[in-house]
Amino acid sequence: MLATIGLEVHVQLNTAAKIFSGAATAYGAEPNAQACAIDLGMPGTLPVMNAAAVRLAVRLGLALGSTIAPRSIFARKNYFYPDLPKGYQISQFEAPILIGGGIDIRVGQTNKRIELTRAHLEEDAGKSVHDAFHRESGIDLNRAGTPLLEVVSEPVIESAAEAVAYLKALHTLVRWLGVSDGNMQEGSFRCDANVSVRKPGEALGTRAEIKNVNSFRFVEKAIDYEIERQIRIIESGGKVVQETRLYDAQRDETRSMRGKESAHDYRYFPDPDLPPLILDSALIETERSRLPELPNARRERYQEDLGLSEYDSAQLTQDRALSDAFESVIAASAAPAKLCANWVLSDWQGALNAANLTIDQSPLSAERLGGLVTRVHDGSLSSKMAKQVFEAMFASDDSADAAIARLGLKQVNDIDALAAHVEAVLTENTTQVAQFQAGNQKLLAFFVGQVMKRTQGQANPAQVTALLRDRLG
Amino acid sequence: MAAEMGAVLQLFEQLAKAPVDMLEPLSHPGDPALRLRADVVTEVDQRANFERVAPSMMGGYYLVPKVIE
Amino acid sequence: MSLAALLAGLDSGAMSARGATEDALSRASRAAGLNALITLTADAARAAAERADAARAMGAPGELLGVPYAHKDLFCTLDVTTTAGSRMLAKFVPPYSATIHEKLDASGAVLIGKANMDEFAMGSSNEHSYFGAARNPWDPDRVPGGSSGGSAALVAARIVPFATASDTGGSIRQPAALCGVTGIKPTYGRVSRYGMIAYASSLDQAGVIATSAHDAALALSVIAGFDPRDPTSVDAPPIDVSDALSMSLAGLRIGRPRQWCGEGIDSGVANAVDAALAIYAEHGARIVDIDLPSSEHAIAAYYVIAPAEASSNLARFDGVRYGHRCAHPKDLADLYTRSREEGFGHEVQKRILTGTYVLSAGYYEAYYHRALKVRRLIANDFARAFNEVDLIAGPTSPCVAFKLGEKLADPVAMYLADVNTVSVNLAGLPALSIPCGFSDGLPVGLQLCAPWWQESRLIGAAHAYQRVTDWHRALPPGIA
Repeated sequence: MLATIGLEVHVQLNTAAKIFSGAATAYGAEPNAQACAIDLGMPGTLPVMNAAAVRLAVRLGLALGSTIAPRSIFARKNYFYPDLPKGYQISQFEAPILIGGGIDIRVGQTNKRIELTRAHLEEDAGKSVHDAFHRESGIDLNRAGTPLLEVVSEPVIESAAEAVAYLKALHTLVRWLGVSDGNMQEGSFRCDANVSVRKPGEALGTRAEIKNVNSFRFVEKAIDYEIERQIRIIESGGKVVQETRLYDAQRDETRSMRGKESAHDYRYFPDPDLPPLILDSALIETERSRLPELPNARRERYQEDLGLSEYDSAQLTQDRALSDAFESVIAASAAPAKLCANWVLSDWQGALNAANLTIDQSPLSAERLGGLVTRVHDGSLSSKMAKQVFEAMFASDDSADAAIARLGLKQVNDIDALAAHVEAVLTENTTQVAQFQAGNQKLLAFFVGQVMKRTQGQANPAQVTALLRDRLG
Repeated sequence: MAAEMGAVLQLFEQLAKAPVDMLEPLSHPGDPALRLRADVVTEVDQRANFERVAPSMMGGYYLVPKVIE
Repeated sequence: MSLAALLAGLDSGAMSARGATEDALSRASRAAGLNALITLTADAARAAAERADAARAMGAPGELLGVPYAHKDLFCTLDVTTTAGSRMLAKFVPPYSATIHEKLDASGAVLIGKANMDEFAMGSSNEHSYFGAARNPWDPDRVPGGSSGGSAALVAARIVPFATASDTGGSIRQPAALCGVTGIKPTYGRVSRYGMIAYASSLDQAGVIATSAHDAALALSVIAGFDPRDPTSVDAPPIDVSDALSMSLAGLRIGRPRQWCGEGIDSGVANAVDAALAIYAEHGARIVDIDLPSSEHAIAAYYVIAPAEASSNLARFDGVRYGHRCAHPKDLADLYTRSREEGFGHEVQKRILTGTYVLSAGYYEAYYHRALKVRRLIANDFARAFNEVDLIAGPTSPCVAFKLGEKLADPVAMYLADVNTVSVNLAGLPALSIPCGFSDGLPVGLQLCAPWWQESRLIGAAHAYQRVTDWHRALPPGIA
């Protein structure tokens, strides 16, 4: 059996105000404190379109290679629900702002392009609270009117793993572009999955829609569960029903949402309050000129131009802030990119994670880290010393050199000074010199250790070894 | 109501006679383009004012009979 | 007293806002039988009048400082009950104001109350008001027209010099015609819709009713203008009132559509309109017979489009956030069904049902979508006509004020009476109605329609006519 999956992702656009009103979109306000007269659908109020929502949609469309519709139309989707204050949702139906486009994913060793059907602008609904009141539900309309871009993929995804890879790529992209904060806990990136199964060679099967899954892990589990469920039904001679299902993370299963039949007639029609959105090429070109290097392009560049591994390149392009920080480290450092990447991915990220900080909140700047990596590269610091310096820098405003000086940790690189120490060690240990020259090669480590001791660990062991070999023939 | 509706719907049969095949629908008189506003927060919390006209509100929430999902 | 005369009196100090307001209030109380007001705001009006007098004494500006007026009860007024003529909003006290109310407030005008209207502006007789029908001052057994029946009756009975109104398919012009007053429906987008409770968003336009074109122009120029809160508001060049008032009729080409004057027009109405056009001709205008061939489809297109938009616009009245909520709903469906059944009257429910029907999956193409194409056809008709003429003229209403209850039994007949007004809204054009004579002792209205944004031409042509005629000065019986 083959599975076919199409995903609808609701991306919350990163605007200060709502799509049709001047109320704030900030998360976590007191219930209904951010629902203004327009959001509440008060009589006589009217929607006025937020320009930023349009610009963000265009920006994502350019990055996805979509056609930006020169004319798109807002329509009303009519249905009654308490979290829908006007009795209709303003959305786009026949003429969405973005048409087509796609996103490249990699699953295992396979590359695949996930084609998109469309993406349309719409307003979010409010939120119902079911457990706070006796026999009643509470409605909070703070979220009502939050701008969303619904990105609809073609039904070309064939496994839960592909679905997750696609979602992660889209998630990276919307955050990369500043289109959305992508915060899944706060509902800024939500996914509906249309899942069907069929036997090879047959037409697409009947699909079930899994609503509102808000973590990558749950998407994977929900789709896997649903594929298995549908296969079980078909193999036991049954038929899959077209319906909406909800994923229950606690029980790891999907179940039917009765009462939300997909056969509902939404009576879409052009919103008479909102004339067509006409996009002039100037706006599109402005957005195009502001488009940053995209994550996939950057990843390839890291592999091809900087010689980073596929893994490191992928890691470094998952997040725009991290990637930009890496760029700054390279720029500030004389060290090769590979060494910079190691420091960014292991030490820096490790320290940030331990301190529960984002890269933007890092007490250590990329430029200062670049200085440290330079000192590692030129041999001024052993890796053990470098870690000490890193910790000192993370906890202060010191530059690498200032921290090294403060800690008195400079690795002795001066050949003459080192040679003097080597000479002294050899003079003091004539017995061992004789044994070495008689063939006991293991004593080399002893001499190195003695030199390190004399220099209080600040000598470069590689240099010491080289000097010793030279001196002892 | 049904009889009245029937009479009204009969009135609509006139539409079939109009020669409109080549025409674009006109949803907005004057064919304007959508005007955009700047992304600025202009609203302040007015919940107390809106609560005064609400039939049933508690703890800042509008109340409706329990919705079963 | 006319608005222009009142302003002159206030300016000269011969009159006071307090006096004008007391006069309006006492006239309102004498004419209470007209049922023209849903809410009287006497105390607030007296306070506002006192403030206006004080402001005038200080030399403060204000185009309508101290002028009493009434709002159609469709416009939201902060802290003043706004019902839209419906039980649904019978107790609704908006926490915000319509833009036009803010503008009138800023001009210093004094609100004396909220005028009766057909529920949610749906009707042509004012009989579909939850608060009972308003009466026609010319004959209390007859309707004042609708939906702005209360506004027209208040002005006809000389209670206020002007009142606001709204026009979706004739709701300013038809009651103005039936009550013998002047009503102007501006170009779509001229006056903000923000805070005006929506009936059909792509057709609704706010305007004014007054006793003359001059007065209507003074009030209109206060409420007109771009509003960033209205997505279809247009920043058009303002109406130049003084320019309009000095317009000459010489050379003005007035088109008389054959389709507006055909069968179904009462002969008394047709005669009065012909006589009015003869006056125009006498003063230099050229009357040209023209065709608006798509007029026959206008009623069908209007009664598809307006209810379709209304069915969606009125979905917000669900008993959750404001408005009527049924007692003890047993579940969510019960809350919606009973709140709406109890809150909406028969005509409103019928139009919601009609609108829902024409938008539904099997009927969208044949009805709604086709009606939008017919709308294009009608707009094109007007555009073609205005290549040849400067104004289009005809009867506002095919008949004079009818008896209360006369047409209630036959809703289609009531709809058909909108035949000459609805096409103007479908095309978004400005139009006005002025009194032009009588038929059976009841006023007849002449409708003038102009190209987009040409309100000043409309006002100019109407004012020129009113300078040489007295129909607009005729007073209903018992009114002084």
